[in-house]
Amino acid sequence: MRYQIEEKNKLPLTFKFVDEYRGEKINPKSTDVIYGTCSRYKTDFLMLVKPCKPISRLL
Amino acid sequence: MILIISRKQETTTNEVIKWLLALVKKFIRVDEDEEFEIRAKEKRIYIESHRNCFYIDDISSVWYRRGGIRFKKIQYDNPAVDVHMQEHQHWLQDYVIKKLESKKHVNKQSTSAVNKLMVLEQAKKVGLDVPEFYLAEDTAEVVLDKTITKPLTGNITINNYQDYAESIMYTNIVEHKEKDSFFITFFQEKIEKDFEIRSFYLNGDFYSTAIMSQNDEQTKTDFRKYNLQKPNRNVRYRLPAKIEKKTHQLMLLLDVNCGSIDFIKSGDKFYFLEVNTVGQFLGVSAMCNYTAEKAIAEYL
Repeated sequence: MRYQIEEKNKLPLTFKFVDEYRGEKINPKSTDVIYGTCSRYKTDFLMLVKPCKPISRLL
Repeated sequence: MILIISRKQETTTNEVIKWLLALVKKFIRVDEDEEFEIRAKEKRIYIESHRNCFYIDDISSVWYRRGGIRFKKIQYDNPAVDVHMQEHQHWLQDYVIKKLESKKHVNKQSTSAVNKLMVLEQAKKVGLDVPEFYLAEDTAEVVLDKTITKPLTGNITINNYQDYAESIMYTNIVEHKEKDSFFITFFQEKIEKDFEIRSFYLNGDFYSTAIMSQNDEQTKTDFRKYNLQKPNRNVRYRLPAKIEKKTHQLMLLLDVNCGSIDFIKSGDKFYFLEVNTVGQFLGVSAMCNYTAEKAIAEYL
């Protein structure tokens, strides 16, 4: 979905082609991907992906 | 000891770190929230933040991923003293950055940000095919349906604008003339592609992926408009040796030894589009089983 950006100064033509990438803010309750702290990797943003069912069944 | 300069929210860094741990290589990770103070002890220089503290000569290799090393700036009350001390601090910081960059490295803080326009000019100089490009403030000279426009910036997203969490500026075809003039904008000849190629480059080695985006209306102009229902097919690809050689020459000119490079294949020609020094490569690396993150860890 494209939307209008109103600014007092001129903008490059590329702004005409701005598209919504993520319409909603990331749902913090989503359990598919969560981020955790990990001292081993020295990060507080370690992506922890919940494996999809077929893979867990294989395991 | 390996020094990694990155950001907290950086998944690629975590993936490389997994390999460093597997290879039993010691590392220090510096994030954007750290402010370093330069100190000296027993004639050796070390830098210290609230999380890290290390001697410069203990660092054997550096991976500049994102962000940068920031230093604490001390202000002085007397203006004349302050002017002198600002220069004093500047040269100390400059020395630390240059000493780190003189070590074995994957990209450098000082050269990692590349100017898209200059890169295209350099690419032409080394003999790569580059679609014609120009800057304009109106569409008077723009050939409709045969011209694309895209941002000059490295970051093509706009965060938290109005109600949108993230908005993105894709490459788009110019289909209509504009009545009014606009802020200076980048235009480029649209090339009818057979497919797109994304190459991960590391020190002269190319890990290329052909992205079959041309048959899908959604991904035809920009493959990043991912079709999640029916994703593009991605396969390993080998660029012709002469294209690799010219691109390697370009990377030497830019003083960048790691990055993601975009090409379009059209007939017999390989059109160079751009270099992204801090781009994401985990996706194509996983799809083509390149393990580029391992290659970085092994090099460091």
